[in-house]
Amino acid sequence: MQRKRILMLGVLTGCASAPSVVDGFVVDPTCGRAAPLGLTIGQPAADGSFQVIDEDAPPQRVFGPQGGQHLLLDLVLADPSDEASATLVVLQAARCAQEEPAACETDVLGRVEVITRPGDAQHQPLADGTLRLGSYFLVLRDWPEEEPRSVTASVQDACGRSAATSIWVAPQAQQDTR
Amino acid sequence: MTPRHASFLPLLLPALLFAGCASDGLASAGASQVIDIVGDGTFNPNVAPEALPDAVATAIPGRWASTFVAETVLGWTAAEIEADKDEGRAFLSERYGLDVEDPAYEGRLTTVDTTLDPRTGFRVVQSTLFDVPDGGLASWNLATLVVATDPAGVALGGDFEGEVLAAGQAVLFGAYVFPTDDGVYRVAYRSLLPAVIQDGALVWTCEVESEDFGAGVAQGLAILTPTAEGEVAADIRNHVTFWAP
Repeated sequence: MQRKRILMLGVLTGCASAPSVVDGFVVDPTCGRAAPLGLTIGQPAADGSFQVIDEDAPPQRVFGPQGGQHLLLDLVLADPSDEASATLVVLQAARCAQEEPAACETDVLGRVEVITRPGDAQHQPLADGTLRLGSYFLVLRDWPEEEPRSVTASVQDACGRSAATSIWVAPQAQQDTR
Repeated sequence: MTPRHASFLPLLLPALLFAGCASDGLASAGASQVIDIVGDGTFNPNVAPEALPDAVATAIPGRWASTFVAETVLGWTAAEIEADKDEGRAFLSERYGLDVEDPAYEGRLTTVDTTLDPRTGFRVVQSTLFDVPDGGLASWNLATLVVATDPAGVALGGDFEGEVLAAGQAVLFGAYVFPTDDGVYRVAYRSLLPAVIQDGALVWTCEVESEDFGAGVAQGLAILTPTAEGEVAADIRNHVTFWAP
């Protein structure tokens, strides 16, 4: 009886988990591109240009007028696949259990899963042959300045190639914009 | 109530809560009138909503540049849209001493014309002014936000002479649009006080005005939080009160 109640409540409140964006991404089996996919993570500068973020230049958090807080992130792919191909993008911010990058997946602070396609505003082929993706909102539920955190980006292109990069953010190291 | 009936009570309560009972019969003659709005939808702020066909991303998650509501829902011409914005900008100048088109504010203020993402589930759940169907009345929120981005803040004038719009604070104007069975109601709003971020939530107090309902105030809060599925959940609560006639 108790189990039936839980099931019915689940239906009434719409508790079923949504299908994942990741599951809906389709790889083209005919693609023969095998060269490594390069990935750099950054943020848009005030003039819109791509600004690399790393341990020395951590991401700037934004307190948005929507309520809440977010990081605005951009990616650059080196040797991207065909310009007509989609890219699966997963971004994640996490609190780290220890001050080392390997311990940064224990407490997720925010996550983005999105498929970016040609024609989307976030899909920007550049003249040098690279592909800029973004900007993406990574909405945060928290961003504890006193603790180590990480920002991770991973991508998969239509050829099935993947790349990932992670930025470790030291305690008290980030700069905020409000 | 028999024990058998009592055992169903835990199941019925959430069903009643989520059904959003229609709100006939709430009005009291001579009293102030209310519209209660919520938004509790979940969406991906990096993907444009299908229900807003001309949506272009802005610097604010959950808010899109679009003229769809003004042109299609309200039936306004481009000239009417621009006249409405002129009126809003004149308000900001008079009330807050902010001429948002002054180049001196470049890099210190960000002005964004937006439509709230409909996937937030922005809807009227209760009103004394019009019938609200079960589940709520899907509604629109148009907002022009002027946000202080200067870390030192921006000095205000007008009625707020001597005060500072702190970095992150915003003043705004816009309209709620309610497409009811009896027609489309529009309620204009304008910041009575600068909106602030408190405990992560945007908290506002606005004055409102409507040809149909008169004048009043809107008070509420909004916050977006991420979900484990890579989306964000909206939590919007807005209570609009129209002064008693």
